[in-house]
Amino acid sequence: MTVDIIQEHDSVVLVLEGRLDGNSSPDVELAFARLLEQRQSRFVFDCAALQYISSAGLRVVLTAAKKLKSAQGKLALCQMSEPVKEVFEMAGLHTILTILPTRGEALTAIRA
Amino acid sequence: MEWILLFVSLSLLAAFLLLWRRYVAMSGQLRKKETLFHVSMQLNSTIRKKELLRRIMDTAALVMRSEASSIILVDRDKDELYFEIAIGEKGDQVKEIRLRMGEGIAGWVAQNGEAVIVNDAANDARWSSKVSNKVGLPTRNLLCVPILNRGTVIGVLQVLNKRGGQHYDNDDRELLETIAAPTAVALENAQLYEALEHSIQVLKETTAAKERMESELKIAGDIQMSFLPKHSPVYENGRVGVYARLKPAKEVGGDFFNYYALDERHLFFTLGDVSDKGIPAALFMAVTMTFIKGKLSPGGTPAQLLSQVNTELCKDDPSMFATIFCGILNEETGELAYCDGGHNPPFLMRGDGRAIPLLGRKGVPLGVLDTAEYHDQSVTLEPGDRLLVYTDGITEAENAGQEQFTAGRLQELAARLSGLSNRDLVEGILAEIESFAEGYPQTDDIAILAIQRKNQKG
Repeated sequence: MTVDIIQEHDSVVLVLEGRLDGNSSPDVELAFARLLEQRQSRFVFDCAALQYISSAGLRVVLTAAKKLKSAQGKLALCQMSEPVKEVFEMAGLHTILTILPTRGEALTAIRA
Repeated sequence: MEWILLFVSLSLLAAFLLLWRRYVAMSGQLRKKETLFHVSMQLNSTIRKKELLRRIMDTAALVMRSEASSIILVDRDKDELYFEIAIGEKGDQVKEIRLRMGEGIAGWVAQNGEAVIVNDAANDARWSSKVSNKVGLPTRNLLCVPILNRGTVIGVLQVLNKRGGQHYDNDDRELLETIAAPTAVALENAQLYEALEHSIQVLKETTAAKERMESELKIAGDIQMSFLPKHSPVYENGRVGVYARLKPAKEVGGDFFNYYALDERHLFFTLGDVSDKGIPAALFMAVTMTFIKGKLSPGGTPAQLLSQVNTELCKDDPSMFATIFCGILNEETGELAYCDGGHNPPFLMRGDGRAIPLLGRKGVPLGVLDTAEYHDQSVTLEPGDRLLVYTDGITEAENAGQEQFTAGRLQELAARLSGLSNRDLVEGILAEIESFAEGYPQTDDIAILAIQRKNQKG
C-alpha cells in the first residue's frame, strides 16, 4: 500500500494505492496524523487505485472522519471501484461519508 | 710454563664468558617463558571482557616495569580507537576516550600494524597529548605494540614511563609483543561471550514479552467466551432452533453473538463484530453486550435497542466500532423484526432451498456516530425457513493465494447445505472454510448463527 500526498491549494489529496488492510492501515493512519499536525483540515481520499479495503481499513477512514469532525474539517472520498464501494455500503457508511465519483467533485464538496 | 697458565686462564675466561652469555640468554628466555605463563594464566582466568582487560594491563605494567598500561581497542565501524579503562595512578580517569585512526602513537600503531618505541614523547611528531592531558599523567616515554588477531589489528597495548627513568628497548618490545599475542584470542573470546550474554538477555526479554502478550490474549479470549450464551451452541424449543458457533482467531477480534427468550413468544438474537483486536476489542464487546442486555425491554424494537446502545457507547468517544445485526423473532407467527448496524447481510434460507441476502435500510456500526439513526425492518419466516447470520471472518477468510472466500461462495454453499439441520449446516460451513484456507492461519474471528423456524408437525 502506498500513499501519495498531493497538495491542492488548501486541500490535501491522499492517493491510496494497493490494499488497505490490517497491515497497511498504520501507514495511512500515520500519514493522516502528520497532515493533521500540520493543521490541514480539508482532505480527499482518492480511491482510484485502491484494490481492496478490509474492516481495519474502514476503521482508519472512520477514525479520520471523526477526527476531522472535531477539528471542523471536511472529508470526501472519490473514484471508488465497485467492490470497494460495496464494502462501504455494506457498513452503511455511505450514509455518513461523502462519496463522489470524481476528484474534482470531491474537492468542490470539501470546500463548500 | 706461564704460557700454559695464561692459555688455560684465557680459555676458562672465554668459557666463562660464553656460559655467562648463555646464562643471560637463557635467563632472558626463561623470563620470557615465565611471563608467557603468567600472562596465559591471567588470560584464562576470566571470560569477562572488562575483567580481562584489567588483568592484561596489570600484567603488562608489572612485567614491563612501567608506571601505567593501556589497551586501546579498534572500532572498525567508526574508524576510531577507544579506551575501555586504564590503570596506573590515574587509572580511574581514563574511562572513555576516542582517538581517530592514525591519531597519536596508538592511532599510528593501529593504522600501520607495527610496534613503536618512543623514548622522548614530547618531541615525537606522532605524539598526541590528548590522553595524558585528560589524565594529568605526563608521559615521558612509551612502548606501543599492535594486538593482532588473524592479521587484523584489533587494538594496541601500551606501557608508559618505564620505572627507574629507563628507556624502552627492543627486548622490551619483543616481550610486550609476546604478551599481546595471546591477548588477541582472549579478547575475541571475551567479545563473543559478551555478544552471547547480550543475545541471551534479548531472548529473555522477548520471551517475557511474548508470555505477557499470550496471557493478554488469553484474557481477551476468556472475556469473549464469558459473554456467549450459557447454553451455547444449541437452543431448542418446539418452535425454533438456534445453532451458533464462535471460532476466535489467535488474536481475539471481538466477534460476539447472543440470544435469549424475551418472553414465552419472542426470541431475541444478535451477532456482531468489533473493529479492533485483543483486549481492547474484547472489552468493547463486553460493554456492548452489557448495554444490549440492559436496554432490551419488552415491546422495544431492534432499532430502538441499537439506537440506545449506540448513544451509550458514543458517550465515551470510542476509537472502535462494532457492526451488528439483531432481531426479535415472534415464534408463533414467524415474524422477524430486525435491524442492521453496518453488518454483512444475513442469508434468508427459504424452505425450498434458496438462499437470499436479507437487505434493507442500512444503519452504521455502533460507536461511529452518536446521532446515527437505526431502522426497523421486517420479514416473515415460514415454517422451515432459516436465517443465517455471520461475520466477515467467513467471507474474508483467506488461503495462501490471498484468495477470499467471499459472500457469493457462502451463499452458494448455504443453498447446497440447506436440507441439513442447523448444526450440520453451520459445522458444514466451518469445515468448508477450513478446507478452503488450506492451513493458512485464521486472522479474524468467525461467528455464525443459524436460527430456524421449525416445521409444524402435522
